[in-house]
Amino acid sequence: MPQTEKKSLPLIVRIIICVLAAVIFYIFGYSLYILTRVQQFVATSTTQKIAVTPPVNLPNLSNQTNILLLGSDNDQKFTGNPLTQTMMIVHIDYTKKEIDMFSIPRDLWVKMPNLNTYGKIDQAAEYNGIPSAIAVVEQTFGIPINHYAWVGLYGFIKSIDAIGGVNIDAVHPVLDNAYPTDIGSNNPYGVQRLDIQAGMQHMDGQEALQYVRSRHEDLIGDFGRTQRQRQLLLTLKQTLLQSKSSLLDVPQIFDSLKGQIKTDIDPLIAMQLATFYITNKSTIQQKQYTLTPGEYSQVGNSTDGQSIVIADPNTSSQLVGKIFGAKAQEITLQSLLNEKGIQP
Amino acid sequence: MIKKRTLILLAIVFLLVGYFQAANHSKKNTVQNTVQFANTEIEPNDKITLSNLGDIYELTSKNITQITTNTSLIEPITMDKNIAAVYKQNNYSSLIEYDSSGKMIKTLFDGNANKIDNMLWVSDPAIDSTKTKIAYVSDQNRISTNIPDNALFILDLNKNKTTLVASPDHYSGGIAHPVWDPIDQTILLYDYYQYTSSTLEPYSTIMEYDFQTDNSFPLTTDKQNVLQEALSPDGKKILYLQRNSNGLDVSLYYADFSADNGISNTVKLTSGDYAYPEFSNTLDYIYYLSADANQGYNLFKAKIVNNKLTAITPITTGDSLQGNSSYWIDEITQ
Repeated sequence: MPQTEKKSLPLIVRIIICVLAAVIFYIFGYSLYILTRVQQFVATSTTQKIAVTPPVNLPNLSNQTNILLLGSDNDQKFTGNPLTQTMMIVHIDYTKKEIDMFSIPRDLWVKMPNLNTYGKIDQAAEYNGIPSAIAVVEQTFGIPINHYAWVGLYGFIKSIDAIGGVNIDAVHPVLDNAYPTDIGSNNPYGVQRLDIQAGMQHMDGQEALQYVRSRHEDLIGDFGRTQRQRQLLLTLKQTLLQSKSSLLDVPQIFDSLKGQIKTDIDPLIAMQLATFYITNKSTIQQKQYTLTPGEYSQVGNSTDGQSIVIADPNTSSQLVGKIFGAKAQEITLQSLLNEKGIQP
Repeated sequence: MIKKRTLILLAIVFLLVGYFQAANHSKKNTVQNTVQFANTEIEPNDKITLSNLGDIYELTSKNITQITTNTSLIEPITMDKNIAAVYKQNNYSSLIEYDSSGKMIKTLFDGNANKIDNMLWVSDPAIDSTKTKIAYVSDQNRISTNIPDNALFILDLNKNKTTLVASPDHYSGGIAHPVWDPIDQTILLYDYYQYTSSTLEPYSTIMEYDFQTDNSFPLTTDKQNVLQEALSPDGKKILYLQRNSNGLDVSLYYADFSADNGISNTVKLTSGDYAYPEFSNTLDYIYYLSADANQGYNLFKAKIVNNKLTAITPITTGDSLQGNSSYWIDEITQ
């Protein structure tokens, strides 16, 4: 019986297949390293999803995600839990294709979670760390916080440096006669003078931190600072999208951030968020909100003499309703109407 | 015929090569400064003085000269024969004059009072075309805190006398970026930072100061929100940046200018991540800093043809210029 001759592929095709296979295995090896490093980063950065007992019946926001971004004065300056000097809710509505950034003034006067006392909202974290910070936001604004991300000063600097700095437009000159020199210093109360010129400029991590942290000589104080923080976040997003950095830089970026960020956003969720953003980039509407003094709040004093921000229950709850819906508006109105400990 | 075992071995080799190359890449240091000067692209009648990593360089189409080394200097200007630049430290800054060999000549403005409570800032120096007056920005009143009070001063080099020219009001964000009219030394433009009364959003306007009347008046509106203007060598054209509504980048505008009639016939040249536009001494050419996908800025030259930027040419390449600095352009006279 004649043997059927095995048909072999032409040489050129075989060469192409071999080259392709080599490239695929090379990419696979490269990706394997990146994934290993990401996994290591996640292991050191992710804290367990915090179970917070909602103090109120929070609305169920389907197809929406609320992420609480927290920034602290310092990671190591004081013992105990640091104040959360930056609090911002990123509200993502997948149906409407909207991303809202709601900045919360650090001095906002609110009821502390699980306590019958009132205080500045940034002090909530002093009680029980991030869970308390989440609880106070949920309680005050009547919204569930689905995820959080916390970064300290060192983490902030390293994050910016890891991507090669940012180009940012200083929206006005920033002069500060009492900018803290607590990084790399034994004196947590040391100050320096700071001068950041207005206009387009490139900032490294340290400079970007100075730009978003300074508040003493901003005419609108902490509100000016939250404006600058939101601006930096948007700039960061833009920088990452336009950056020459690529997947190849991921290990290095993650290396520099190891241990500097705490979040419950795991790689899968991060991927989902990134996919939503990238696929809807051209249609997503992005809005920024804060409790601007005059319209939504006023600066006043607590009965114990602290300078505080007092939200206007009506206008503030309307703003919250506009972002998060009617139920959140109702809860916010109730929580703000009952404020105590404010000087008449 | 390659054996199956060989193929598997090769696959493992490529996999390992990828893995270890990724590991090697992650160890690389990203902080480099390999800025390169493509000085031959500079217009023949221009001399550019700029700062990179705190050192001052003079660039012409024929030469690159490093004037100072390890000096922490930014914002250079050129005087009659020497240069001056801002020496910026943590708590203060000073304006210092150097000769062409980089030797320090004298301190024109000393911000270092040795005591933090009395230290001062100086920034944004600009010298007039007669090279006798330097406009700069500094603290108006060091004692008053929690007020952004950076005001505009003039240092008369002949009389060695400083005069306060324009002060911000207490509800503003301060003054920045003075620009002399190259032809009429009685006119000075500057940026004035303020806040909208309703939403407290910061914005800036271009102001014109008239030394004959000692008055300032705005050339642009709050809605325009503009900054970093430059005047052409004949004083008839103006370049400036306008903040885009996305709050992230700017548009570069080109317009007619006259001290009496202000800004007119405005044309948008481009939009993106730009800083410090300046005119060349060659008609229709301009320079500007642009991110150009770098994380920082590089210097570019372009020609304005039919109100469009053409012949865009990098003057610095490679890594970005380091130092957030304005630069200075002089005319080389043959």
